[in-house]
Amino acid sequence: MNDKAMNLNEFTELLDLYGSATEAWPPQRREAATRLLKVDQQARLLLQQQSQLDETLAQLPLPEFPGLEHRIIQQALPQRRRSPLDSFIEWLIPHRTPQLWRPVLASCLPLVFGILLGNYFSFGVSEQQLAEDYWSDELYILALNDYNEGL
Amino acid sequence: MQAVCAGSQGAYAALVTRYSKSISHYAYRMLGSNRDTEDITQETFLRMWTQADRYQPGKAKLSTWLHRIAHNLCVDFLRKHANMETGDQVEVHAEAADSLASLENSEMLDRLNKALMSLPENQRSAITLCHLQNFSNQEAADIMNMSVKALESALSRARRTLRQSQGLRD
Repeated sequence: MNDKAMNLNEFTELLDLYGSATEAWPPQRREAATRLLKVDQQARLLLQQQSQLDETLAQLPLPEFPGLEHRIIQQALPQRRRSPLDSFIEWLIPHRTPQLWRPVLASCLPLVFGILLGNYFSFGVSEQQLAEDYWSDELYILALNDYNEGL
Repeated sequence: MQAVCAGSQGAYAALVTRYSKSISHYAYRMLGSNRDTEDITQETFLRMWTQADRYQPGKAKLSTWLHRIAHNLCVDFLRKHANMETGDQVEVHAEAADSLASLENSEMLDRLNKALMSLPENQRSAITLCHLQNFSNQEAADIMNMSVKALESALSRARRTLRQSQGLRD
């Protein structure tokens, strides 16, 4: 609730912004404006003038446009085309029904791809090959030893 | 609008029926000419059809979006035809005055109409959207692609000018 009093300038500004319809005035300013109207004749005059202007504006005539609606409906419309990207996004996240499996699937794809890729390059070496590599390294190191020292 | 995106002409026709009057009234207030109003209104709905996938339901109401298209078309038209006098084409369909009061009223309406058409386009648009088309200040600001503060400034100036045109105290 705004208890601040309103002066005539502020009231004029209120009318400029919102017109004479009190229901259009912001609630926090409406009460102060109403209080001012009760005590200030000039404010009442301003409101009356704005109200008169608003009524006159509402009376400004508008012409009829016979057949316009029909012409707009009948006008030739280009065929609607979607880009492949738009179609994919619409399939992925459809507007109508929430089919969650599609975005979930799409978000899992990078993970699956990463696993497959990693498996192919690094983790596909078999244990037998590891063992063979290990023994060939051992034999190589043994071959380098000087066995005469131990004898 | 989803149906329009999918290419449904029936949905398109339904939206034309619902909004064509409002759009044509706005365009008329901006342009003041029957023929130009019809062209702009027709173009608005053509763009609605071709740009339907740009509409985001969560961001704005459909009426706001359509009025924005109409507003942009009107502004482009007015800038293109800036050298032409728009006031001459204004038609006030006043009924024949059968009394002094109605004659005075008719003159008042004519004076106000001319004052409205003489406003700068942003002020005319602001007063038309907020007062005549009953959009909120925020919606009108969205339509005109400006801040609410800028809209309110235009609205204030428009109301002041119109009051002065009626010989009312400012």
